Amino acid sequence: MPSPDNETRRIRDPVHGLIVFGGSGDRKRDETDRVAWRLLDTREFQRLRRIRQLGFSDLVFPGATHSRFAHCIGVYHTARRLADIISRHEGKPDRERERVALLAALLHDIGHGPFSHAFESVGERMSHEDWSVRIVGGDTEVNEVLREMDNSLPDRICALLTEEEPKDIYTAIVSSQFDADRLDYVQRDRKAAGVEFSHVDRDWLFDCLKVGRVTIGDDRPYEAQCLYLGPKGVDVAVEYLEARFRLYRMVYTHKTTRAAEKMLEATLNAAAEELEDDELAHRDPVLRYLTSKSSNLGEYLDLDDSAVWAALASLATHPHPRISKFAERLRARDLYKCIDVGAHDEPGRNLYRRALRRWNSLPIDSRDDFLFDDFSVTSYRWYEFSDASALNKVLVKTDVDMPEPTDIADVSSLVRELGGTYRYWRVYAPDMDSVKRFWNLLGEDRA
Amino acid sequence: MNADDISVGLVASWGGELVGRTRLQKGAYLLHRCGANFDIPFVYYHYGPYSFDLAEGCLDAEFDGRLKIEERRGRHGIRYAIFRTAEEVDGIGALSRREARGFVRKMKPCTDVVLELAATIIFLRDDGRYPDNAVAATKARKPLKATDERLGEALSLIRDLGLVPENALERPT
Repeated sequence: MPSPDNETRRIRDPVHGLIVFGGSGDRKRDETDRVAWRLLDTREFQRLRRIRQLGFSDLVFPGATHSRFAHCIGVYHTARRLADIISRHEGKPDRERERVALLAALLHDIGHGPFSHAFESVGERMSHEDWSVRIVGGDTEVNEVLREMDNSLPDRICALLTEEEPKDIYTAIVSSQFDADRLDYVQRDRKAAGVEFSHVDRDWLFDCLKVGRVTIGDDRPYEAQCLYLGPKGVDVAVEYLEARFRLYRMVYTHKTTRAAEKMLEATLNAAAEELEDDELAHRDPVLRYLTSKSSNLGEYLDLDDSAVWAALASLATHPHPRISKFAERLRARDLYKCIDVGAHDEPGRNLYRRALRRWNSLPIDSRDDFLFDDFSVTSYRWYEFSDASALNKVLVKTDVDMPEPTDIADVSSLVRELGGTYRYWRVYAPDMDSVKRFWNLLGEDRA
Repeated sequence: MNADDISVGLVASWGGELVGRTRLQKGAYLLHRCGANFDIPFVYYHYGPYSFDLAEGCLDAEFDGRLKIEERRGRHGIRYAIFRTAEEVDGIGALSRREARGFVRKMKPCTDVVLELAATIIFLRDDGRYPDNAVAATKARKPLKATDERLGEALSLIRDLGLVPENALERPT
């Protein structure tokens, strides 16, 4: 027998504990919760169960097998907590805007493909943000559920998901440097990976959050409502940014995980180029998507982690030697060896450039199959208050009497140090002999 | 013309010095659409059209000593880059030096935000997603940057550069 619509639903979550949908006593919120609950059951949202949040990270941290499904529910829950803080401080909160923000938070990753960025970087494809908008706005179950509540909801959620700059406090909940997404994944990824660093005192953090106003814009400055941390929350805000920084360095960009990502990228790029007319490309959903350059939503929704692993199983026995080699090695976790060429300094950058130049000058048939990896990590981005993106900041007051909150980087030397972009130059080599040949290429005797 | 030459040519066309990556990327895209027809792909990334090849080309040109990239910290510690070259170029892409400088002269007085808006409008209009409402789509993506005044400046720039026929873009609402 179907449950009545007003029934309270519950999910146990490893990070947030019990997440309750409905039963808040607030009619608007309960309605939103009901729609959120129905969205979880849609075909498009269920796909997120089959997409791991951290892609290949479980090759290093075996516990990191959590799904985007669980993360999205955590983001929704976190967004509700942030919205509650706004409501408590506001006599008349904008409940419609709140509803759009909460559902956008739930759906923010709905367009994510398998193995996230490794998959997205193959060819010139649509970004996962673009796919999210297509899923919310298109002929989908998600769209249907939203329209049943309010015909204009899909368009309003798409508009919010498309905004590149947080225009108000509600958008900032969904997308800023202090958004529900980051607040959830910092804790979830840490817990799943089993690392002891990057702990954030979440309850304290939320307890110190307040609503204030900050002046932004250059030619016509205006006051915008914002969330900020009071004096007792400054340290925990630093802790949160440091936690993200450490996760990026030690989990997300771990050399072994990156090796697997680069190998998958190489496999899929080669498959997209070489297998266009191959019979396998017609029957395998991943290869069909890659070789056809299709933007068909239905075909995209067939893609998930298991589809990629199935494609790798097929490719492992394919006659194309480079493709089958990569596929087989990925399946066996026989990963390329990482050569740390440099990080964030000029000698490292020049060494990497020199290696790339020399390697490119060698005949293709006689050179090692090195995979070059030049990437950067931005742990905290500073914006001017005159910048339209100023609501992207983590804002704090070190003293209750400060007229307006300020950027955390203005008061924390640690954040200033962590802030900005750190660049890494790595090369992945098939085996230890080729590592040696890499250094020989540069005229150095290292291994 | 490879990406290193494009990066050097772009900075040279700018008078030997160009400040900021936004200006570099969005300026390159607008010049590309003005007829330079660079053989490098642009995708929507970092708030508008962006070329990974061009970013890579800058690093190659720097490695070869053709381009100097100085990283600086401005107010509030915000980082930005200054690109410099001492090279003179005969042209850039399919544009002669005179043509390129003519277009750059029109772009130079514009702020980074106006360049970003103009480049975004043209990109969204021509990549097929928003053929009839690229201005509205840009405004939706950049609700704070895209003030009426700045959109007006961006549309003037697009007109001055001759990028779309008169009245081909909708008026901002």
